[in-house]
Amino acid sequence: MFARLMPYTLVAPALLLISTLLMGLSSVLGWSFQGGSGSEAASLIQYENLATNESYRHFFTYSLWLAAVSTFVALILGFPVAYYMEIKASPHQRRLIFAGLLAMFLSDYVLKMFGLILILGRSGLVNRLAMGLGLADSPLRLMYNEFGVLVGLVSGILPYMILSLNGVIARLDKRLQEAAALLGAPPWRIFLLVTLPLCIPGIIAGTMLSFLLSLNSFVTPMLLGGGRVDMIAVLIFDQAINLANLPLGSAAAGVLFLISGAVILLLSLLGDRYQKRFQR
Amino acid sequence: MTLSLSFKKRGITLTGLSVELQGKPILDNVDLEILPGEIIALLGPSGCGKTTMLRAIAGLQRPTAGEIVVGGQAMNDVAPYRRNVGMVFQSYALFPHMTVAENILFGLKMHGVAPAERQGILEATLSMLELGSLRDAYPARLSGGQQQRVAIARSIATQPSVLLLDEPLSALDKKLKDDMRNELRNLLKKVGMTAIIVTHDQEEALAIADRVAVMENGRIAQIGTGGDLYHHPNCRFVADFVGYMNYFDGRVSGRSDRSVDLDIGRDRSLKARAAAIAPSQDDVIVAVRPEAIRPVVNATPIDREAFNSVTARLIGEEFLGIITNLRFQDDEGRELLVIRSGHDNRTQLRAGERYALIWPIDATILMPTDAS
Amino acid sequence: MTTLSRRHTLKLAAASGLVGYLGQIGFSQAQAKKLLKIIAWGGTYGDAMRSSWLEPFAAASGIQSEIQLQSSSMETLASLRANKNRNDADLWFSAIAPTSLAKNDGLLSPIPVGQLKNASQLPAAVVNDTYVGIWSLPYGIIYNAKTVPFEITKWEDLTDKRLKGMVSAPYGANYNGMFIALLALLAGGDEKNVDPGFELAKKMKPNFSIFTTSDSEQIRLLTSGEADVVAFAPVANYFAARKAGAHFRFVCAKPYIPVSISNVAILKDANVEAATRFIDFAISKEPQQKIAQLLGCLPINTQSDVAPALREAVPADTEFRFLQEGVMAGQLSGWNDRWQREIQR
Repeated sequence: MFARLMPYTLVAPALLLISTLLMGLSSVLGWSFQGGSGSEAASLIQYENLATNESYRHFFTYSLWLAAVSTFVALILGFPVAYYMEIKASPHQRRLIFAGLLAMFLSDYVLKMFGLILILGRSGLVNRLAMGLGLADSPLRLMYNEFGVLVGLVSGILPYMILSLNGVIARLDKRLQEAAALLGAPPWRIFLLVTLPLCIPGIIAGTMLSFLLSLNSFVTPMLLGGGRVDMIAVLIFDQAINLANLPLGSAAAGVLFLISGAVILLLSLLGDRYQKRFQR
Repeated sequence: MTLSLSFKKRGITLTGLSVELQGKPILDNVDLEILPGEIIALLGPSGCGKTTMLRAIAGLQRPTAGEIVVGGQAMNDVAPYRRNVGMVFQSYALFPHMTVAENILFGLKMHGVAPAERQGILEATLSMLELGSLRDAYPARLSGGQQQRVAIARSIATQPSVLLLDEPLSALDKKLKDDMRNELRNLLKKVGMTAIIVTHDQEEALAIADRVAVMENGRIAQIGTGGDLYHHPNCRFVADFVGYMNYFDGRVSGRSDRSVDLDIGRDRSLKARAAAIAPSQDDVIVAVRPEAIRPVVNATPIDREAFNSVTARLIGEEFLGIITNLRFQDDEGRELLVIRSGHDNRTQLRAGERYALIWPIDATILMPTDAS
Repeated sequence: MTTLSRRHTLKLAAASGLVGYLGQIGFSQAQAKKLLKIIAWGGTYGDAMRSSWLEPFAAASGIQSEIQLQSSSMETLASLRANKNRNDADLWFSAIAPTSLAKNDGLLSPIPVGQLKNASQLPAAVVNDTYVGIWSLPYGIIYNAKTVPFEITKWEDLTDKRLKGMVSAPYGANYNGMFIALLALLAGGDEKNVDPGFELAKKMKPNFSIFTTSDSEQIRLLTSGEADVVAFAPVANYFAARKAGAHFRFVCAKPYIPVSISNVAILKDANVEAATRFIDFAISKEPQQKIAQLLGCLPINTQSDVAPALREAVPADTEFRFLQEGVMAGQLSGWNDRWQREIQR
């Protein structure tokens, strides 16, 4: 009897948690179908509002743009690190990089963003350096604008990107690169024609994770955007909390949920199709 | 379309080649001369340095000392992708994201071969290795034998001056391995490429290569044709690695112009040809191949000038079809193996009986003791 | 690990969902009515309320009370709306716009104004059955005298080209739209016609570099040197910034400064009797004087003394302007969008 109940007992806490989350989500979705003027009948007026109001649409298009740019930058910055870490670094260096990544994971997100504020601020590290070296006469605006938010987003997603890429790079068969070299391929062509294509599953995984984290980002635009960088989570917060407009905020959350789902679906389909081509 | 592959034959010369990995010597001062168009097998147990030698020639492993010359050109400082050396990896290392045709075309594209010519070489290679029907398949869908053929096709398509094969048959099952052995040799001879094949399987080495280099602890113990190694091994390691051998510890008791007298204990003596031993040595290992020995009834008269003889009791018999393994024990307790071919076994041998084991003095091999 | 069939999994999910749901009902029904629960702000506000009101009130009446934190009154409005009929708090400290909206949604209990003995000492406009005023906060400009090249005296100065990129302004319709309404009034419009206000804001736009959502952010920007001017700040933020340096100035900008009324309302299903007694205590002379002193705000009780520090920042001859926050409440959402679209981008 006990043995039969055992698996249920073990999964119960997780299921409880998941069901609570699902309840919250479904109640958010429920709110999103409410009309504005207290009418109880379900309506799509909030979604219509989001779709037709240019002001709201901007939050979505701009967030998608920022998520795409930050993901791309993280990929460009992360790949060499992941590659170096796996292929070139000595065990000691690898441990050091790993410790650094771990620190980036473990430290609180808000704390990280405050750290960036200290670095990017008017009298922050970068500005003091730039002015000390004579590169700038007056402090540069490195945050409270798009640039600051991008820096924040990239630093937030970089560890996820690096670890996703590291996974595939670690599994790369080095013989393939050697074989390519012996077939006459110089290093850059080996990278483009052999290494990179074989890393695509990791690139897709890292891109998916990073894109979603960036797209759903709230703390970064709040702390580093100075109110000038419109991201969806800020819209949700602003509508639901600052303006107590739960239906519209919920609808925005619903759309964000849909977009995130679509991104997951699209990228996993892409990854599956790529891998199915040449794997059993 | 018929288009023959043409290769510029090049020899390989290794001089004093040494490789150390983390302070451990893997290759130790190796000298090797390979003629253009020759097939050499590097034979030895794992860890003997044979793969490392291959990787050094390919440029994948930097030597700590010594020189690698291919076709008269020093290769030490040439990057792998400029060496024009083909390699078939043990795991084949086919690009999993490319079809068979794309794998084969890869090297041609890297060498800047014009598209039309590329296509011609592809067709020729596909047909030579009977891969035509698999051209659009991805490697993961191929059998081990097919993958091996693709790996060879890919590496010869660029017409390298030298082909290196690292345990190319080890991933195949026994039957396929035997088939592929001959196929591989025929192919290499057909295209006339200089090739080095690494293997730990002596039959494979003997079947494919013109000459076999037996390696031990980073050195070449002996190099020669299969016959050389089989009939005149220069040490116990080589003798053991190529076939089976019976041994006696011996001591030189007399020398003449034509022969050497050997004392093998209990007043028993054997003879060997004088040329087989350095004049200064006294302690030697006396060896004889099991198939050189013939058991005869004890009373049979023997020509002592032409044959050696040892008396031993038959203790076991193993019928294997074509051959029969006979196990004997002599008065000293030494076990001796005798191999007779099946149809030759006219004498009815009885277990427990004593027989005279005789073999020609010419078939008696002398080697230095392990200590020397 | 046993693999669960899909039917099993669904059953389990349904069952655990039910458990969660029952749990929530259970919590809401176990309303402890003995304790007065007050929704209010934290930080200095919460501390000041505890020492000026909650603790002395408990000593005088025997009624214990505790604060449930809110980060903004609009946030509480959102959560009251979301959890209709399921709140267990009695009193809600807020502002006029949120309480007006909450009343429309039927989230409040009418305040028995007749039972408030001290109500006569308050301006009549801030006592009604929806809310009772508890203090008022004057709003002005705070700036850094070290970096701003001239003395700011009037709202018009925010359009001065010398302030390019130096000014932080409220995010959207933050501060209950008071800044937007103020600009409208200054430019010849009013709470119902804010178009002139937006025109005026556009003249300030080159100067605006950051838009803030909270008091703490304003203070942080000033003290870290990220912003040189805060365009619209409660005087309390000035006191906080002042702790970091004497070079911050508070400007009671000409021609007049707006004053917001913070208020308290009794929530639906509350312990009205105890809540009313608490309100009556909070608006009485002594507690008012004490909290005004601690927070640097104006006491709502006309008989209470104004703290000397506040007197210094807000001279006696300052002209105040009360905004029609009730009228503004319904338009905040539209203003918010428009501000984001036309000013922030």
